[in-house]
Parts: sequence; C-alpha cells; structure tokens
Amino acid sequence: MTVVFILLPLSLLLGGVFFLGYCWSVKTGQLEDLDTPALRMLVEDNDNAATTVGEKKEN
Amino acid sequence: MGLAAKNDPFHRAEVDACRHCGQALLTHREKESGFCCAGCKAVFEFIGGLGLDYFYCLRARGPEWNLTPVAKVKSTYTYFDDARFAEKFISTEIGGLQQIRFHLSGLHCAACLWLLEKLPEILPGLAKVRVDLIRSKAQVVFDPKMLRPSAVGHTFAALGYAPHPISVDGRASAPEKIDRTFALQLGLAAFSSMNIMVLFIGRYQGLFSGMEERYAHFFAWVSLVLTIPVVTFSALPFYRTSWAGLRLGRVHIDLPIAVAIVSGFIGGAVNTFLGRTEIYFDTVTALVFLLLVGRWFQRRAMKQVANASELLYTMMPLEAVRKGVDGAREEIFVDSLNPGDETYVGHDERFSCDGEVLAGESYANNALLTGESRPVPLRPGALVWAGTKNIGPEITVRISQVGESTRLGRLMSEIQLTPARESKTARFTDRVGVYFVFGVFGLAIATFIGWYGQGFWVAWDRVIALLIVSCPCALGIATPVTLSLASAQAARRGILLKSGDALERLAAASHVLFDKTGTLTTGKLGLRRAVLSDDGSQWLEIWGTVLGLEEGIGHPAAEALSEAAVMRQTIARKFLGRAVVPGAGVTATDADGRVFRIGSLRWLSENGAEVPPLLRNFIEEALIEGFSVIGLSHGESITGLFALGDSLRPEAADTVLKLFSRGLKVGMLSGDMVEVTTATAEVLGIAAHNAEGGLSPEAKATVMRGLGDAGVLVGDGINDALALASAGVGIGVSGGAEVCLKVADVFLIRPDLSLIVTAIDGARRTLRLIHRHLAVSLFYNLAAASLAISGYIGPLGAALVMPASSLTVILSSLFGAPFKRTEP
Repeated sequence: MTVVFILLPLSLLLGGVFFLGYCWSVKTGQLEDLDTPALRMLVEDNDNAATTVGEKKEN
Repeated sequence: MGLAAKNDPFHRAEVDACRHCGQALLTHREKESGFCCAGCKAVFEFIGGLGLDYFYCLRARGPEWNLTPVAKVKSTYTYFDDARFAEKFISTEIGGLQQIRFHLSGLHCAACLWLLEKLPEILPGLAKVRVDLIRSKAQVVFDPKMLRPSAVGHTFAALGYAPHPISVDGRASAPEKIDRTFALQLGLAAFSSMNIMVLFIGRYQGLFSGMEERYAHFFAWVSLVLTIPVVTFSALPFYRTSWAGLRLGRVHIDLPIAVAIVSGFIGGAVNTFLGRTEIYFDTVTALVFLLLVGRWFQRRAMKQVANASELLYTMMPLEAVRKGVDGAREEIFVDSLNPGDETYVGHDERFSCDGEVLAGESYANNALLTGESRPVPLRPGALVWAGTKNIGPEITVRISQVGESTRLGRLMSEIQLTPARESKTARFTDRVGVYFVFGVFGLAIATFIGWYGQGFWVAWDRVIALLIVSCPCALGIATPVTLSLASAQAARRGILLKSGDALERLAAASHVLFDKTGTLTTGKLGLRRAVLSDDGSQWLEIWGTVLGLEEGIGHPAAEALSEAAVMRQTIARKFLGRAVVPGAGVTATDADGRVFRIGSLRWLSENGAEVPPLLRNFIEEALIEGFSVIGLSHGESITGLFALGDSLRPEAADTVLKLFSRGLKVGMLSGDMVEVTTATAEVLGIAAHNAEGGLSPEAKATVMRGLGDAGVLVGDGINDALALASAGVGIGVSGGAEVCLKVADVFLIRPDLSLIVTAIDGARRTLRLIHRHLAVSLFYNLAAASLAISGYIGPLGAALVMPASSLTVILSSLFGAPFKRTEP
C-alpha cells in the first residue's frame, strides 16, 4: 500500500497538467463566447456546398 | 408555393416572398423579379457571385426567419482608411495582420455565421472572421498589404450586414479581465474540491474499515495542501464582499460564508497538526466551488456598463463628406472634423455633428432625437442636430459642435450619469441576510456554550457543522441559476435580458408604457392607403403619372409616393414642364397640353379640382388615424387620393390587448404631436388620458422615474434612451437605435411587440420558481441546523446534507422552463 505515497502525488501532477491547460484556455479567451461554437459546428458540415470545406490556417 | 420557393432559392418561376429577406411580395412585377427591393436583389446577387448560395439552403433548414429588407449600400467606407479611424478601431496583430471588430446589424441565424466565416476562403487578404452570434459581434483579421479596411467594411455591407466598428479601448475592458480571474478562481476550486472529494472517499471508507494511521495522516496533509489555494485565492470574492459590507457598517450575506470557510480551514488545519480525524477540507472546498458556480451563472447574466463615448459611436454616423479647399468632396472619419468645417449631407444620411444649414433646402427627420414623426423643413440658417437624418436632397452644413459637445453627446453623458439602481432582490437579499447572519452567529455561540461542558472539541465540531449546514445555498446558488437559465431560454425566443433582476422587476411591473414613433409604429413616412378614381384598368398609368410628377423632388411625401410607384414597377410619364409650388405640391404639363397636379387638397381645390363626395369618407378616416392626405388631379377631376403616414406595427393592437388581459396598465409616451398620439392611442384602445404626446426626452425620463420599479418602458430611439435607463425596466425594440441595446434592461432581437407579452409571462413564472426554491431551502436549513445543534449531524453529515439541498434546488430550476410555454 505504500505505493500510494508515490501514486497520489503523481495523479495530482497529472491533474495539474489539465488544470494548466484550463488556465491557458481562460487566458486566451476561449471561454468568452460559449454559444456560437455550438452553432458553428452545425453549419460547417455542408455536404452539398458549392465551395470546399476545410479549416483554413489562421496565421 | 410560398414554402417551395423558400426552400429552393433558385426556383425561377414567380415567388410570393423576397428571395433574400423573405418579405411577402405584393405586385406581379415584384413576384416576377423575386425581390422586394433593389437592396435585397444586390445582396442576393453578391452572395451568388461569391459562390455562397448555400447560405439560402442553410437558412431554409433553420427556424423561421423574418428579416427586414436590406438598404442599398451607399457608403464606400473609405473613412475606414482614415489614420484617425485606424488609431481608434484597428489593432495590429502578430505578423503584420490587423484586427477590427464590428457590431453587425442583420445577424439572425446560423446561416449568417456560416456565410461570414466562409469569407476568408474566398476573399484574398482576409485571414479570419469570428462571429459571436449572441452578441451580434464579429472579429475580423486581415492583411493590410492585400486588403484595405474600407474593402472589409464594404464587403460586410454588401452582404447585408452593416458593420459598426467597436473601438480598441472598448474591447479590452476591465470586465473582461475580471471575468478571466473569476474563471481561474472557479477552475481552481473545481480542481481542488474534486481531488479532495476522491481523497475523502478513501478516508471515510478507512474510518469505518480501519486504516493505518500514516495513510490517514498523509491524506489529511495532501488535502490541506490542496485547500490552501482555494481558501487564499478562489474564496477571495467572498472575503471582498464581506469586508466591503463591514467597512460600510453592514452585514453582508457573504459574511457567514466567509466565516465558515475560514473557521473550517483553521479548524481543519489545527486538527491535521494534532492528528485528529475531523478535518473539514472537503466541505470547505465543495462550498467554495458550489457557491462560485452560482456566482458564475449570476455573472453571465450581468449587465455591462457602457461608457458615454462608446454609446456615442454607435449612434452617430462615423463618416462625413467634407468640403475641401476647392469644393472637392472628401470622405473622412468624423473625428477629423472640426467646428467651422463645411460638410455635404446627402439624401437619407445622418448628420454627424450639430450645425447650421448653409445651402440647399431639405427636410430633416428628427424622430430619433425627439420622437417627432413629421418631417422638419430645413432652409439656409436652420439648425441641424447630430444623429438626425436628412430625408430630402443634399445640403451643405457648417459644423458648430462635434463629438460629445453635440446635443446628442450631452444626452448620452446624462444617460451614463443616471445612477445604477440597486436591484430590488439585492435589497431583499440584504435585508433577509442581516437576520440570517445574526441568527446563524447567535445560534453558533449558543451551541458552543451549550456543548462546552462536553469538552472543547465536541463544541467546536458542532459549531462548524452548524456553520456549514446553514450556508444560504438557495440565495447563493438557486436564485442565480434559475435567473440565468430563464435568461438563456428567453434569448432563444428573441428576448435578450441584460440582468437577472430585470426579470424580477418585469414580473412585478404594473405599468407598461410605449413610445409611439418607431415602437408601436414603423417610424417611416410611407403610403398607407390609396384610392384611384378608375376601375383598375388604368392604375399602372396613374402610378406612372405619380412617379413622373414626384420623382426626384426631394420632399418626404414625394419620396414616399415615388417609392410606392417604383414598387409597383411603373414607368414614369414624360412631362414637358414641371414646377414645384412650395407648401402646396407639384404641377406639370404633358405633350398633349394636359395639366396634372399632385399636392395638398386645399391647393387642388383652389385650382378647381374638388374631391367628390364619395371620397370624403376616405379623407376623414385617414385624418383620424393621423395620416396626411395628398391628391392627384388631372385637369379639374381628382384621379387619386393617397394617405401618407406612419403605420402601426401589425401586432401592436393585439399586444396591447394581451397586456390589458394580464392586469397591466398600458399607456403611451411620445415626443410626437398630441393629436397624432391621441389618434394612435384610440386605434389601440389606450385611454386618451394615458397617452401623453409632445414630451421631451427629459420629460419621458421624469415620468418613468415617477413610476419607479413598477414602470416598464418600451422604446426605440435616442429620445427614449434616457427614459429607458430611468425606467424600472427598459425594453429596447430592435430596428431602433443601437443605443437601446446599451441602456435597456431587455432587448428584443426581432421587431415583434408580442415578445413583450412573452417576456412578462416568462418573468412571472421565473419568480414563482424562485420563491418555491427559497421555501424549499429554508426548510432544509432549519431542519439541518436543528440536527447539527443537537449533534445528530457531525461535520461529515453536514458535508453530505449541504450539497443535497443545493442539488434539489438546482434540479428544480433545470426542469422549470419559464419561457418554454406560451399562453394565449
């Protein structure tokens, strides 16, 4: 059972990485508009569109 | 037929609805062309030309849409290239790209989103378009080497979404930063509380099945480490409000929460050091997390205070045409204008500054500033105001005031100075909070003294359990969650709520007052009714005569009639001579020497053309409704009568009736003339003494202030802005001035007055739901508190009971759908 002394901090470390990811998403403003992305996803799959679909590079 | 045409925009046969905006088409010619106006046709062709027709298929798939026809793009947007404009509105990104943000008018559904975000794939130089559909905003990134800002503006306008730039310092505002800090506090609380919960499941399990002490201690220390950032960072909002309250000598509802957090943490930390089993870290972190979730919902619905200059920019045209040294026309950005400059203001353009007319004769529509629906004549020497509109031919104006010193600018500053009311619920919560706080602390002290005989630690555990269990979760979580969910449902129905407490005031309101021009009516002079003296075989010819007489005259009545004639797809009759008789009308002679006149009935009768008795009724009815009547004569016989006026919105009468049936008092506040106001009120069934006309913006605001929280004002223009800000609830109607969006508590996305009834019904249901939750949680708290005092619930039990009560009310708010149902 002593393995818990290693595993517990390790799992917290792993969780911490995800928390840092969350911090990053907050800092870059990804949580500011929570409504539009849901709709964006719906309209982007246009099978019979006149133009081609494909995510354009943003930079 | 109508439906088929909607689903297939490429259908070539006659259609009943405009291919672009979906408005019903009236005449045969319109049906054949498929469009209601040239503006819609231009947009349709532009979209087709870009290969984006899929837009129409997408739109047909979505919910029912109802657009206003698109105005033809007149501006070239060259002022976007002005250096001062760039300073204010354009920011530079990494890699030399530039970013500009717009408020877009005309955004309505996911198809618009698709259309705009597709643009970068088609337009070279456009790097990125990101649309925020809910707030009608777009963020545009472009390469200045390949695309000028003016081209960006023009493209958006050509697609039918007029762009209104948002200033650079308006976007990176303080609320955004506070929001980000808050998101981090919430995230941290979530991370810590969830991990601690997992650890504590193990610990509790261990307590019953026997666990080696070193593991229990290790778990306790790890959770202590995880709790420290929650108590020192995530819980900051509670300390801040408690401290702010104490400094003002008030007891804030957050105080017992703050005390519970701090005492729970200190108690837990002491016990960890002493190696005792009662550590409260799970409860403390879960408490912080749950309460922050409640705050997050509350924040989402919160209103942002707009600053005066930002308001000003949404109201005033950003573009002006300045007269250069040799009379040349320079399109510039308004900030580059100075008093003394001379500007040209063309037909249907808004004045950008206050000033004096130098040359030209025209008419101004002051409806936005004063609420007056009838045109005001402009002659050299007349004064014009920023924000009002020139509805006649082009005139030259010398500027006297610019920016914030204009009449409009001063009005905007006054709006900003209107103090933010303390909301009724906040006051209610504070009042209840005081008793609550004293009650809890009194009980806590009594409990401690009562149990002290059993030993310090027993008493300590009871007190902590009591503090935790009696946290005001219904006030802290259930109310904001209910309000926020109700707001989201309302938004889906086209009602945007700026704050949750607007709903509470809306539910309790007793008076609903309407602005007239632009709110109950459409706000534009147009042909309302016509009678032609023939059997119908010649009507096209008569309209051709009207067009020939009125085209290009510039008088608003002439404009309205020409527009009506053009809509009927007629060809203007050719005349030899045409003369305008000021204050009377237009007269002309055709090739055969026949004399035609169009103008006031008095003038026509002076020239021998009397109205036949059969048509007197038409005139009387039109005048009662506040319309003006214009006649067309051919020689000495009247061949047509035209009633011109501002028409009521189709749903206005029904809405007023429904409001009456809900026990509300309905009235009107108008800046328009008393007779017109009274006539409109009569049609709607509003008692004449409740319909006030001739009110200044300040007078409207005084009336609304007098009604306090019980008054609801529905308005649209700048002249309503101050009153909207002063009213208990201000409801801004779409299609009106954007300033409404900023100052109103409620904003209707669609210009549909029946949404007001929906809003009031929904608000009332929301309030019933909140009261139910308050009752439930009060019961919970009383029951749990008495169990905690008597020692039946220890800190462990408290940790279980507390989330259970929160969960009950949260589930109840999730299932209550106050805006889902509609009542007749």
